Amino acid sequence: MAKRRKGSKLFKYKPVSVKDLLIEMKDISELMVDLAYSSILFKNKEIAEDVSELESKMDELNYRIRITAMLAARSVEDAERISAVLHFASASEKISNAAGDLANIILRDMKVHPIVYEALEDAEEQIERFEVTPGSKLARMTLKKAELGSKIGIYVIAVKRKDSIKYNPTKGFVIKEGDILIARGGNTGLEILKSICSGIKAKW
Amino acid sequence: MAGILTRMKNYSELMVALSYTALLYDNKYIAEEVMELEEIVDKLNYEMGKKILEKASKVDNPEDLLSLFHITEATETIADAASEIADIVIRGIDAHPIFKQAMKETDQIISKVKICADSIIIGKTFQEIKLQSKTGIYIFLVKRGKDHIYSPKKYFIVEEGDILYGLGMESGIEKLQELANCKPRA
Repeated sequence: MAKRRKGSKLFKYKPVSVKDLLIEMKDISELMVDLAYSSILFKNKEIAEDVSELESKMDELNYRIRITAMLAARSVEDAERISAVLHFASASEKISNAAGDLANIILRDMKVHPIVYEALEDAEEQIERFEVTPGSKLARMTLKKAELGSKIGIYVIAVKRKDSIKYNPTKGFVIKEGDILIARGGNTGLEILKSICSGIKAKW
Repeated sequence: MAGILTRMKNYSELMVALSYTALLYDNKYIAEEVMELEEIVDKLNYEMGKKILEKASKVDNPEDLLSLFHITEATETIADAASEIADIVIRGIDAHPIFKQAMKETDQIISKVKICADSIIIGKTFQEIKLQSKTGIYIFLVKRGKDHIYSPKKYFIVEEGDILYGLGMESGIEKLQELANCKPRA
């Protein structure tokens, strides 16, 4: 099984709410697993690379939760109780590494057996990513106004802008040209979103 | 064979979402759901392994089957790790100050509500009931028999016997229990 290639990236400790950390870790893990399978289904290296990026983001969050745990230990009893937090960090790292392994199938051009496609295509919903071109009506529109959920049954689960990723964007989120929308939904809806993002479709 | 893998994938994704939810809201029901799913995934993993080996003896290039192994293994690892997270909840989160601190920051709770006979919401969609705007409860999981429906959409139709897992304030949960026509369970 592929091992992570670990860069020697340095993380800086900053105090943070544990709840916020856990929520972010939840969002990222779900997204990573979803994206990993999608990268295989669509043989899409860009999606696979997103997974790798998220993997290093997860490394950082896992590091932060470990440090927070260690700082909370002031006695042997504390340390014993806190070991559960470290246990959590290692489990969440395992999830993110496994998603990374899935994405590696695509990044390393491994031959994928037809049964895999059959299995992955079977899912009711798929995930795809589309870039919002300057000509798209979506540029400068809020998600609320776009009404993608009610009109085409598509949910934007994350938006990639330059080097940052916004997970679960809220209704007030304003889409900009150049944004990459990571969306989930049925095939028909995704096809429509594709033409909206490219600017071919102006009404939906 | 594809069917087994599809189920493994769906369950493992569900388990990741549920295990974190169980942890965030210190909820043992959800953690136990994850453990049940883990057993199912274990069995499916075994079935899948057997099927791949059977197939390997019949094809000219067993190497072609490597990707299947790779994916099955990663999927099993994901499910396994999710159950490790759920296990922390089952063993009692109270003991861990870090998690306790996170729990304190929220007043939302998770509740499990069964839809009983004669409930006025049977046969209606979430949209019709306006569940979220009326009760403030977000239903993130529905258990129907053996099926798990994660984040059901607004056109989801409620049936008798469905078990809804909702996230929200206590007052909203009470309202939901009234609608469900079932006595609240501890």
